[in-house]
Amino acid sequence: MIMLRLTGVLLAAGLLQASPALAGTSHEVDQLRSDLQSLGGNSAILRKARSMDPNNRARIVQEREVNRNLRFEVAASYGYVAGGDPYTLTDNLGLQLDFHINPRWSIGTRYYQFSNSLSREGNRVAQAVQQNPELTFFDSTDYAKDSFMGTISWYPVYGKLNLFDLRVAQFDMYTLLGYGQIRLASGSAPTLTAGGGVGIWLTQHFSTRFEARWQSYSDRPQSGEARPLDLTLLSLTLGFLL
Amino acid sequence: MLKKNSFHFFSALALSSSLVVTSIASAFASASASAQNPRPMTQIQAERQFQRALLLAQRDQPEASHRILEGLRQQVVNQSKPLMDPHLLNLTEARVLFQMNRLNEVPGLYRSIPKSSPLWLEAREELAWAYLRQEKPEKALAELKSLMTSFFRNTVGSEVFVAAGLTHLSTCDYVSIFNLSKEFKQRFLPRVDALAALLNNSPESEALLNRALEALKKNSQLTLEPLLAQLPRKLSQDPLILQSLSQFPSEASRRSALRRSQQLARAELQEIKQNVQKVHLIEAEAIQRMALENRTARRDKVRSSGHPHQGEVLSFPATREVWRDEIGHFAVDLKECPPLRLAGR
Repeated sequence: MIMLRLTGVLLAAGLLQASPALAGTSHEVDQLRSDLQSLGGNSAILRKARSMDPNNRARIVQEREVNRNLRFEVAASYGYVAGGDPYTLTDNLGLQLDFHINPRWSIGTRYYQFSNSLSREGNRVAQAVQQNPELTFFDSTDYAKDSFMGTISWYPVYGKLNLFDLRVAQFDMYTLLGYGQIRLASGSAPTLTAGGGVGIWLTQHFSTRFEARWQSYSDRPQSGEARPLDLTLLSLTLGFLL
Repeated sequence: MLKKNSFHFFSALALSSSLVVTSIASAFASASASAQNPRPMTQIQAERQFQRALLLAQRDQPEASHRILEGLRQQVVNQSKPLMDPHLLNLTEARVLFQMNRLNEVPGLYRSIPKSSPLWLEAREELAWAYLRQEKPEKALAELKSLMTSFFRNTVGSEVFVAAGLTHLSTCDYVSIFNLSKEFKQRFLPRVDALAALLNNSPESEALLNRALEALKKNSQLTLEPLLAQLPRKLSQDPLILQSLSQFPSEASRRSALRRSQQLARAELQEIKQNVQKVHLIEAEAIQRMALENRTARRDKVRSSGHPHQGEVLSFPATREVWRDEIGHFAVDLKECPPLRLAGR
């Protein structure tokens, strides 16, 4: 029934095809303008049409630009550590190796080397100790040297970025969980980490990540017992997909 | 004497026979060799064959045309340097198959034309019509959505809107028909004004045309693209215009380009006029159906256009904003028409 009606419309349209050629006179152009203006129906018809809206759906379906099935990624990172010992400032350089099982899951290993310096408060206390050797402040500090851990990451959310109108880069937001060992001035301790970030797949081989994670371990200042610490680490990573 | 003469006669006969047999054998050998390795076609021969195929199709002999095109394809594929544009060959073959109503073979040929080809737009428009003929409105609409984006504002014709209107009509999506009409009006009213100004020899239109021709000569797409909003859409690909560029900016070439542009403008206005009338018909049909349709009827059946990608895909909602990388990647889910209200109820 529907196709019969459609055929009728097409037949009528076909008959219209035989109309004489347009010479381009002002009368003909005015008539064309008037025909165009009359398109669109009136408001009553539009209201009725909207009440019968079938809510058809359209979407964009694209392949992933960068294949991350069974693929290795090596990366180097720089991170800043917030929290932890109040008298030290710590940052780190890291190396990581991830194996992408599929675009949703990856497992990996990470190695971080920490560099430490005294914070402003630490400097102030250190100067006070110099002036007064009876103070024993440095017995209450401990610092991280390096750490090694295994991670598992889940990438549930994807999207894409318009990079300055030059190209489009797809990204994935991910969460990660990790466990390993951290080497401190006082010895080794187990460490747990959890966090998330966004990985941007710039080209078939290059990637970048912005990551924020929580890391926990217990250090042992000389003065006392094990002291649980919660750190926040922010890092920027540049990677190469093999 | 007779014996000697007989000997000479028979030896001459044997020699000539062996020569005949040898030449026949070599003729067979060369024929089979040429069948296995046909002589390479020259470009002129290929063009002649192609023109012949086009002529046959125009004379309503698509089968003969198809045979020529198939033979031509083998020659074009086998050559190290292509004798003609293989995409043009695919497009033409798709059209001939469409003419023969072999619609199942048509989509593959149209899809083989990549986005980088200048024939991509035409191919996708014709593919939409092929899907419509196959009663696959969901696939037709998936193609048409790409063509109706703002990227192709100045290059796609008004017939695309007719195709979209018929697609919406076949799935009883009336609100989309009226939205389409509104967009058609918004897009083509300014265009009609601009083309009419060109026909009336307005100085602004002539200046615009000269700038466009300069940009075309320098192959500066960035400059040319916005100018095409007020010029005939086929200007940049018209062979006569491109021919006149060699002598541009001489007065003779300007006048010839202006005359040709006015011819193109007249043709485009005629095209718009016909398509406006078709869109009016579609609207009228929609209004009639809206009166007959049972508003409370459920629309449970959904037709999905699907997508050609394998493996995991990324799916984004199609909004008014379309990114360039999304062109050609639309997928639609259309609900089928509900049953009509019975008379008297």
